[in-house]
Amino acid sequence: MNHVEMARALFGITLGYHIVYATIGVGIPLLIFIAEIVAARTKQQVYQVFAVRMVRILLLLVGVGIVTGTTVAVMLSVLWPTFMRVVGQVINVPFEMEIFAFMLESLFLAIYVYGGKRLSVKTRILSALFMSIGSTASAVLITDVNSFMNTPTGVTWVNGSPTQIDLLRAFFNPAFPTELAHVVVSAYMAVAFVMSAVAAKNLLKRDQTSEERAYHRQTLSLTMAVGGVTSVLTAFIGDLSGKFLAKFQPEKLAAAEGLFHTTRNAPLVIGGIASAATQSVVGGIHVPDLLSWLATERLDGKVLGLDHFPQNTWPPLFVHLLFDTMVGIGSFCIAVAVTYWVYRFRAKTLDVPGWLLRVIFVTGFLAMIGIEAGWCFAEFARQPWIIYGVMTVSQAVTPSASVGILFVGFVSLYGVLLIATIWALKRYFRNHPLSEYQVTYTTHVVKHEKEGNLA
Amino acid sequence: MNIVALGAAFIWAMISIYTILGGIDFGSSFWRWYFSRRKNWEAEEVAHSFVSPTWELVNSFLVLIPVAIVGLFPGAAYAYGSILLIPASMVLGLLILRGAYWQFGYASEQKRGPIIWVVGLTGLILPGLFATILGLSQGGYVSRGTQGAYVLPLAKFLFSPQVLVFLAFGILMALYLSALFLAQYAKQAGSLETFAAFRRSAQWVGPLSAVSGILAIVSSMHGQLDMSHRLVTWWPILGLSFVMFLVGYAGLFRPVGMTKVRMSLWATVIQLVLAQIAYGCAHYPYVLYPYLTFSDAASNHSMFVTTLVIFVAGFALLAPGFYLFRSLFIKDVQSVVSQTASRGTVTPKRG
Ligand code: HDD
Ligand code: HEM
Ligand code: HEM
Repeated sequence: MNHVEMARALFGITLGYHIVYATIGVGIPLLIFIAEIVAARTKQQVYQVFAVRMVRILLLLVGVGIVTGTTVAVMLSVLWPTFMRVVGQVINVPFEMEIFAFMLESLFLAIYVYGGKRLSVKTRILSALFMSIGSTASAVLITDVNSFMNTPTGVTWVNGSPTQIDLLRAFFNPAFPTELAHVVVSAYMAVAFVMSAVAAKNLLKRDQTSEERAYHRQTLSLTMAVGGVTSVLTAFIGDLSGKFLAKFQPEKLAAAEGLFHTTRNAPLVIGGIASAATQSVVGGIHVPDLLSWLATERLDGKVLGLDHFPQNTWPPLFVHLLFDTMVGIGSFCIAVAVTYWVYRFRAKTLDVPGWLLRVIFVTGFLAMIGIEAGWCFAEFARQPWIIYGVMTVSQAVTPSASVGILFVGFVSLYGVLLIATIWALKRYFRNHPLSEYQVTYTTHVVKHEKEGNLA
Repeated sequence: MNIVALGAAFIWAMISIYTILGGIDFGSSFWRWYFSRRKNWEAEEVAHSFVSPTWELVNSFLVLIPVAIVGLFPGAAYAYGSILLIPASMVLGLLILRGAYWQFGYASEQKRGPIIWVVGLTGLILPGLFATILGLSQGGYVSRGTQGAYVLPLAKFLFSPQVLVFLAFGILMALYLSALFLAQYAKQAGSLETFAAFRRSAQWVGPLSAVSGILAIVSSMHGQLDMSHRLVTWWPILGLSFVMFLVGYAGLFRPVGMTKVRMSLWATVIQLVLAQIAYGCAHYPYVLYPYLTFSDAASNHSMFVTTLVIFVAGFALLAPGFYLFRSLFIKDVQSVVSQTASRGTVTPKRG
């Protein structure tokens, strides 16, 4: 690997690692907030216990999220100094506001945790709300910098230097609405599915007491409700993102779909391998006209293909697979949620058959993979640009030559951290089983049905 | 004062706040380790209960500084960004270890030992590493290669005696400040014995921290900004700072019951702020001597003003939250200490 590739790899791995913690950091506060509200409404302690246990997960993960996030922030400056010099003049505002959003989150997390039972129900709900607002705002603001990298508006470029800067137009760049909505909703969705996977895993264990089963059934119900709604929203907003790409970054869409030639009635190709040699997607399922419909809302709409652009600015072609992975997982998640609810309404019981629990368990992992695939797609398909149309990645890279050693060092560190995180989570929940909480679980089926709907 | 100087003052203010908060945070984790080795569990618990809920907030001040620099002085971010790849990564590695170990401490009581020493040791080294950047900024290490890129010969930097003096200064300053803070904290929680332990620590670290500070100021290398002469202009501030040190230190020698450790703590905080003001003024207008001044590095006017406004507004908005947090937290430490006291001083679980 050459110097630039080393830097890209180091940065990409750091972000890919951070995003797991960050996504969970965005999703869990929302679940806590919802659980607190449901607990207050239904007066069932189960949801309180759920909130308490999720706070524990959050506490464990936020620490790692923070240090890896700090790493990302510093690496931005040390790996891409030229990029940051431009960012500092045009799009630093979201980074600055993000810090306060983050402080809001950690402040109210601390209040929520250390206040504990001393807080009134209302203060607890409010703390959870502020926590959730803080973490979501922090994701929105940071992603805004990324959306500026995709659509750098509000500035006139003279020889790669920014002039006539309009901070507001840079902040509210064209990618802002779709990208931010998609990122936030997909994070909520992924975490809901991860938590339902946890519940499913526990329901599959044979040695659980009936109280424990009741707890997990109810959390499954809650997380499946959240996951179902957000997965539909994610797909809906994802579709808007596609239309956005057709307008503002057409070569990204062309690479996503493996479309080599500009055409009307463009087909959608699911799967397959985009091959530069044959100028087409080898294999895969072709659905006639669908891409034109998705990009332009007309079956005979014209979609720009890669041939419209000089070959040296083509994104790498494998992004087609990343895109399909993301969309495939999204569709699968919707299917799982629908199956779960159809089953629940048909069977009129909270018990879910083993095969469905197994599927739900797997879906938890898939949802996280969806996040990774989506980000990797968004980032790889911007190549060779670091700021679309303005600055390339190789122009931005640090002149320092020692990236290689750092790469090895950081990757080992992340490896250790990952193992340690899993160890810590397991350890914590082994030492603190559910029976530790003095809760009365209701096991009456009809009553649950109501809550299922409420959730 | 022109706006660039205002921005520079703002960055120094942020650095001051982080020096104090970070110094207390890092130092406390070292003291926790120190007292756990001496089996003074109550002192260990006081140090622990302070750091637990605060390190995340303190860390966000650390992130604030590079972000503020990028917004106000992107040229400086560029210069330091291109030379600090390796040193900054070392710092990051230590921060990652520290944060992760801290966090995992929630998961398991049995693994307390390694957690205490990893966090303590990194807490000891980190403030020293941060302080070395001051030495770097005075020039003499960085040169400009072909095509104007900044280059830092790492070995020359890391093994220079001056840098070692800065390292020692950063470490000792953090230890002194945190010992004072924990003494005051223990007193607030009503634990006289623990208070006396921290006071003793402060008594012996204090002079070391002062001496290393003076050495750091007067040490100078060929081709560097001549800090000792430039500081002469600011002697009243510097003199006052030294007086504040003496006031704070003297306050530690009154009989235990009547020690005004709160006064000592504040005198020392004022001492540090004054010293930093004098240092910052003497350093001005250079960001990186002799290549870069603050005005060369500054961002465009609108980003500059917006950045300042955002930071001021942000702190103002969060102020009530900080207040609520603080009051919860003081109650918390009182209950923590009374619990430890009622459990007896040595609990087998931690042996
Ligand atoms: C579990 C997560 C997840 C799921 C199920 C989906 N997405 Fe997604 N997608 C993301 C997670 C994500 C993401 C991680 O949030 C990305 C990466 C960068 C970004 O802006 O959001 C993203 C980016 C992204 C982009 C690129 C935007 C850009 O590069 O500016 C498009 C066009 C779509 N998505 C479209 C879709 C469609 C049509 C989906 C249909 C189901 C879909 N996504 C499901
Ligand atoms: C958190 C989710 C993200 C992931 C998983 C991710 C992943 C990646 C990957 C894999 C690369 C390397 C791409 C390549 O070299 O081809 C990359 C590059 C980069 N990303 Fe992201 N990214 C994320 C979010 C962001 C955000 C929010 C920003 C901006 C604030 C950002 C800024 C950059 C920059 C500056 C580069 C280097 C230049 C480049 O290769 O394009 N990334 N990222
Ligand atoms: C270039 C990209 C990124 C940078 C520079 C970055 C930076 C940071 C920093 C510095 C922190 C620690 C906060 C502090 O201590 O003040 C952090 C945490 C966090 N980041 Fe990132 N981050 C990036 C990408 C992302 C993305 C893409 C998301 C969400 C989609 C995200 C969401 C979060 C969240 C929610 C936290 C809070 C920690 C937690 O709750 O786990 N970050 N990030």
